[in-house]
Amino acid sequence: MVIALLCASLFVPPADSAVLLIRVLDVSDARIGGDAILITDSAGGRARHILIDASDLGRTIVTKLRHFHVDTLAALILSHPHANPYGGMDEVLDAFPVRAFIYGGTPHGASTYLALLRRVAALRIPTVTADTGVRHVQLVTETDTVTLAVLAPPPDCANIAGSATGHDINDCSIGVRLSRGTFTALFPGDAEDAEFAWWMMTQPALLEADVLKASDHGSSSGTSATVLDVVKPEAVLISANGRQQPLKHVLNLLTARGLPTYCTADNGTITVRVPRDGGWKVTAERSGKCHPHRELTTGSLP
Amino acid sequence: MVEVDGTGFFDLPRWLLPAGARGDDVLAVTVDAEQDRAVVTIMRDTAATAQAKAEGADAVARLKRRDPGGDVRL
Repeated sequence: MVIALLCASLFVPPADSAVLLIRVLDVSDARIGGDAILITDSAGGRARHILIDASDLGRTIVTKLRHFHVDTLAALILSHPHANPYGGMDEVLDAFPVRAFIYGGTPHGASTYLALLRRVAALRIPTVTADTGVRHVQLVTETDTVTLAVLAPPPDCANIAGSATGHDINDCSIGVRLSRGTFTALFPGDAEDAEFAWWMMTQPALLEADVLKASDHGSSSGTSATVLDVVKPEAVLISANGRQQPLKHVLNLLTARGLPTYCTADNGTITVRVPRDGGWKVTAERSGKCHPHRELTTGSLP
Repeated sequence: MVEVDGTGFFDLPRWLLPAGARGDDVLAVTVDAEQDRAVVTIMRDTAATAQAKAEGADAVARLKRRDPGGDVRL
């Protein structure tokens, strides 16, 4: 009898087995407000994980992934070639097998970026270069399918000029629109107004989403009234360090629209739970409202 | 933010950099240190920048050759 019960317990699915979890990890220790978003689908009884960006805090990300029982990444997605999304990827590759690498194929000369691409090649990780149109990536378990529509950046990004600014690189982000059943979420990387305009022109049907991860850590160039009109989110998640971002203007805009807003710097790791039977809910490590950044930006003359 | 020798990143105020410096530039830094002063010169290295850009394009092209294309099932 004891043995029978023990065997039966082995087949009991884990508590969140029918739930898709989207965790915007708290990386507010990052110097420049990186993103790291863990998507976990446990519908088949065995959790499968996708990581979008790894901030520039590799050790922190690895610790958090282990905390959430990650042993393998079905995919590692890089939104754009800035250090704050890819700086932590080297340590992630050290710690976990990665089954697929997905990025936009934007060339960039930074040595650390080159080293990452060369390492992905050396590890023979299957790669999806989402540089045109929309690529669909499906995470399939026994009883569930999560679809990621990967929106390519504008074609100019493939030949981005050496004179590109940080804003230009932001506008070469890939967008990821997740759908599971009727639920949708949009992760636009650090896309700014120009890239959103491109997507509005080319992929308008793929921008509407229940949950929006605010672009560019809650900067005003990534979260405008126009973007909110198109995406029509019911909740907004902001991954920012609280020092350079989010901007007061953006928080005021979201408040004026009555949109529930969560910020990693104030709320810690933010989790969206998406049950199989519909409905979804956002929870966070800590309660409290979002605060605007607390530092003046650097870069002006002394 | 400036990448230092491919090993890490360093915050530098924009006003310390050459006025024409852009996001993808390689910068050459020399220090002339004397007893009472140090002169730091930061110059845009156009040759190294062009080489880095070419290497970046090559790395992207190499990965793209291994992309089967189309939709993907994980």
